Amino acid sequence: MKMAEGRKTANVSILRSRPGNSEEPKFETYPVPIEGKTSLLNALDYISENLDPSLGYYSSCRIGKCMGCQVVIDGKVRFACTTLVQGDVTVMPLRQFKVIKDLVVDRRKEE
Amino acid sequence: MSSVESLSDKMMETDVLVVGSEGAGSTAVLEAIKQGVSVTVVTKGSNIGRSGATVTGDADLDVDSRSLHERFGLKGTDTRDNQAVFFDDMLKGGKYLNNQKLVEIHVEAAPDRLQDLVDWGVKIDGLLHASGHSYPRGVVIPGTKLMPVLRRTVLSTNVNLVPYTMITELLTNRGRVVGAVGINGATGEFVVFKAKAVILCTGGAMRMYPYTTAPEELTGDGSAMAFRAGAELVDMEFPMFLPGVFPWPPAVKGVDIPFLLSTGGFVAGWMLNKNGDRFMRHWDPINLEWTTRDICSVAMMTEILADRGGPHGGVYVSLKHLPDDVIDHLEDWMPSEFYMHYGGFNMREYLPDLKRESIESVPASHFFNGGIRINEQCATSLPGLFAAGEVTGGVHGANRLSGNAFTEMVVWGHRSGRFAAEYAKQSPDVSIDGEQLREMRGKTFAPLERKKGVSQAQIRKRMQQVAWEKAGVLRDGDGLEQALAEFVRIREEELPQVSVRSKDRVFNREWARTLELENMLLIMEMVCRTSIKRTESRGALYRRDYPDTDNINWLKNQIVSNRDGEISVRSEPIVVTRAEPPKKVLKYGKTE
Repeated sequence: MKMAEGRKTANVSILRSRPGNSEEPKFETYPVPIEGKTSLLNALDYISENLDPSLGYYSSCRIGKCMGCQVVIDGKVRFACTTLVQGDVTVMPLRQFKVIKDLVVDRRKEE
Repeated sequence: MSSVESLSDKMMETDVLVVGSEGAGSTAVLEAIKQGVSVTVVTKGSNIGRSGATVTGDADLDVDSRSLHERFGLKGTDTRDNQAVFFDDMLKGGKYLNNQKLVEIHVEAAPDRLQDLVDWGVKIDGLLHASGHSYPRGVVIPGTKLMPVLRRTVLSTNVNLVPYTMITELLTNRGRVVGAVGINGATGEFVVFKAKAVILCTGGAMRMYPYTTAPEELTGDGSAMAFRAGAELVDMEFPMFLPGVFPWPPAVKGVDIPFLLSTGGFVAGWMLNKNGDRFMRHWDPINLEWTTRDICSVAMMTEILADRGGPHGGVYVSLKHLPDDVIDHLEDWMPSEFYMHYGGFNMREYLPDLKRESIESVPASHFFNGGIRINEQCATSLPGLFAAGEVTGGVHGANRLSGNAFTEMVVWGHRSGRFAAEYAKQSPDVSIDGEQLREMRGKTFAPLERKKGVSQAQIRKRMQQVAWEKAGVLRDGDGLEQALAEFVRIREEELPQVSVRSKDRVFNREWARTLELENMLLIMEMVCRTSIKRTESRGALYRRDYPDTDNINWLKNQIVSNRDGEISVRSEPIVVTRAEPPKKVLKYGKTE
């Protein structure tokens, strides 16, 4: 059980990268307090506001319509906004596009 | 004189620059390209259809029922309808503040613009008869199906698409707009766009409020930069709200469930306060929760501000009055997008057992009726600047009819593209004022370069809370004055202290959020100043201290203009072509 009873923190591991810099992509893990049913997008907002303002990710409608927040969550392509954080989770950028920064990808090529 | 080249990381030249890529922006691009000019479109999103309000629309597009019958052969039309009836409905909905010259064009051009969409490959899903319309006019075209078609159509042209880019200011020279500047998040570049004409299609500003159905980009950028450049705005006292979004849990905050939480829905739950009072009886004892959206929002907010709501800040919505088997069968007859699925959410994960428990609901900001003032050619008061869609004011007056946002974006997007292209063709070459560019660059980079300071996130949250409590669904003179003082104080004292913590220029969310915050504060200030002056209640503005609609003194539009950087408000008589409103004082929510 990733999120033991009484424990209200989820570890969110994000593949960080910044093409153009010499550093290789690497995972960073952030402890995010969880109160009520919350989405991965809310967790990313928490990290960005409180833990690491340099985190790059994109979001717009927050209701699963624009598809802009699509990322790879525990190996599957999902929307960050409609995916509940139910325990520790691993997040990576979409594979088919060039990475701009962290979870932000260049989607100009999509139909 | 500063060198323009040294001040820009990148320079792009175009005949027409379209700011915003969605319903209005895409149709503006397509029409401008048809006119044979070069077009660049800039979006905050990753591509067309990946940002903005259009893709979130559920949504219907209004065309008069007779045209739908004659030209599109749709089922369910009513041929008693015509464009004159549609015109009258828009004025009743807008409480007669609409610019009637614009409304005439709007109802007349709607069928042609629907034809464009069909020609491009958009499929019509059905026809709705939404409240406020005398006849069925709501052509069902969900934004999620519309935008892929517009994306393909726009990207098949030679348009220059610049994604992940926030335009921060308009460039002016000798009294006309000559382009714009912004930050390209993908490259971190400060980009200078040199253009003969600029069209703003940036949408509304509804992220000013903590509960909203609007996407993240809608932070009033277009209206704010137009004001700073010197263009006039109109009807800024009319941000609009709808009842019925979740305040909790966090995953679905701001999500609306039309079937249950809104009065336009299929089943109106009973709305209760914490004393168990079904409070709608005090507002509309006949229709109760089925009353209009504005009255419903006002009633809910009255309970919330009097601390008669639930623990998460909303009022209770209950279906417990229904027998279990009625609740069991709701799913069988209701369209699934309105019931257990909404957007990408499976509502089963969030709803309690509705046979036993209630859910909490709050009103939410939904649409900005006012905005940049345009004429019939989408031209603003500033030469070279055009605007279309939610960023403009005048079409909807004090309140928008359901389905008319989509009509607005295609009718006026198209027109803006046409007239901006014509303007660009007749324009001489433009030149950029280096001194102005230097100032804009300095201002844009200031929060990034400031080493220490306050965080924008806290200021944004406080601004939203003040807006919610004092300048939102329920307003009054004292509250508005307090809100205004607070917004001015934040602008003068706190905004100049905001520091962006990460100094990376590439996709720096906090930097963009800081620039948006300035825009939202400016728009909120306009909301306050215009609401204070309008001593009545009308459409999307409800004032507790002036609850009646005063057609004797207030058949006027308020015009916002920039006087040496300060907001100046004046009023002008409404623009009438054929519909004369009744000259009397009316109860709020009534038109005759």
